[in-house]
Amino acid sequence: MIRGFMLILVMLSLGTLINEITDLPIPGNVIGMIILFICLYTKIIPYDWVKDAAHSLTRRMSLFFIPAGVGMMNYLDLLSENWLMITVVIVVSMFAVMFSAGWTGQLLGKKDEDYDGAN
Amino acid sequence: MTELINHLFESETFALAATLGLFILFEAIYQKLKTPLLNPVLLTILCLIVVLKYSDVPYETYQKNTHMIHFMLGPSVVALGVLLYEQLHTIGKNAIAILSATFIGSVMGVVSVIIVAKLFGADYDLIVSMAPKSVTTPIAMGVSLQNGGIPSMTAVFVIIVGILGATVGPIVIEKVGIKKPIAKGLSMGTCAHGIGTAAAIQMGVLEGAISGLSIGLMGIFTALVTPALLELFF
Repeated sequence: MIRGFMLILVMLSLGTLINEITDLPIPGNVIGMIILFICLYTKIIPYDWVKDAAHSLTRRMSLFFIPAGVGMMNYLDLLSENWLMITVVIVVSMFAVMFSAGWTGQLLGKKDEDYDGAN
Repeated sequence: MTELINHLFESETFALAATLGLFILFEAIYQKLKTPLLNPVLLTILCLIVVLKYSDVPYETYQKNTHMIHFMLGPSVVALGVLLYEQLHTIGKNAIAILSATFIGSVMGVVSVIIVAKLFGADYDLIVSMAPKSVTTPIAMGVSLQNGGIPSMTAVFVIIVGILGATVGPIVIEKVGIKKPIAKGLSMGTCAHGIGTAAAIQMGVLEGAISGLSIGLMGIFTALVTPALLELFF
């Protein structure tokens, strides 16, 4: 487990470093995700080494957004001044994205006969 | 009472315990009632905002003391690489669906913000700040800054959209006939980035993996199409 966490942190550092030295508009953590995926794909890192650590992190991912979400409290004035416009924009646009991407996926996605639904 | 709460939140131990405690409480309620509308993240955030406002605790104090929780976001996004690897076979077979859906999602996301906000007569800087709202915070802030928006404002919209998407997404997706796990993952990841992905993981491993992948793709496509779309509309 500790080895897994260490490797994930190494990938995060690498991703952050790549983000800093290139001008890629992709954040370090997403670059780290891609590098980790490539390392697993090429068997540079054995799946068993990172499996448990990764699962324990992703299962609790939603908790990690709380401090950032509480940050909204600094913008309550801005939000209350423009609440109607902001609400309409956010709701309309969110559904536009959700439906357009979802239906495209539904239309073009293969039948999932191989999907075992395992959780 | 307010002074006591204010004093308690000065300590890292209390701020962490309060955050985890509220999350556990709301998650237990959520597990009992099983309605996505009682999203534990949303309720914990709202509850903390009320308590902190009421006791005059500045956000900066809370932020500093809960940095440990915030820090875990980075590693958890990296860990999505393992979910991707596990679903490699399915992702490979659906590459065209995934790329098309995220590209269309990114264009729809920016265009819909521009059109609706223009109807309200919103200022350009506010429109640009809202345009990348469906994208993960670091990319969204970069897109906002590069196009003349206000990054900190963008971060707020990203969080709001994420929470809203994670809360209503699972209900709406079922209702409108988006049934394939791949399509569900694409819906959640493109509309609500990481918070949506956290909710997608609850639906299933494949949904979570595709959602995680679409955060990155959505971010890249949005960064690429935003300047062109702004040019077109202004």
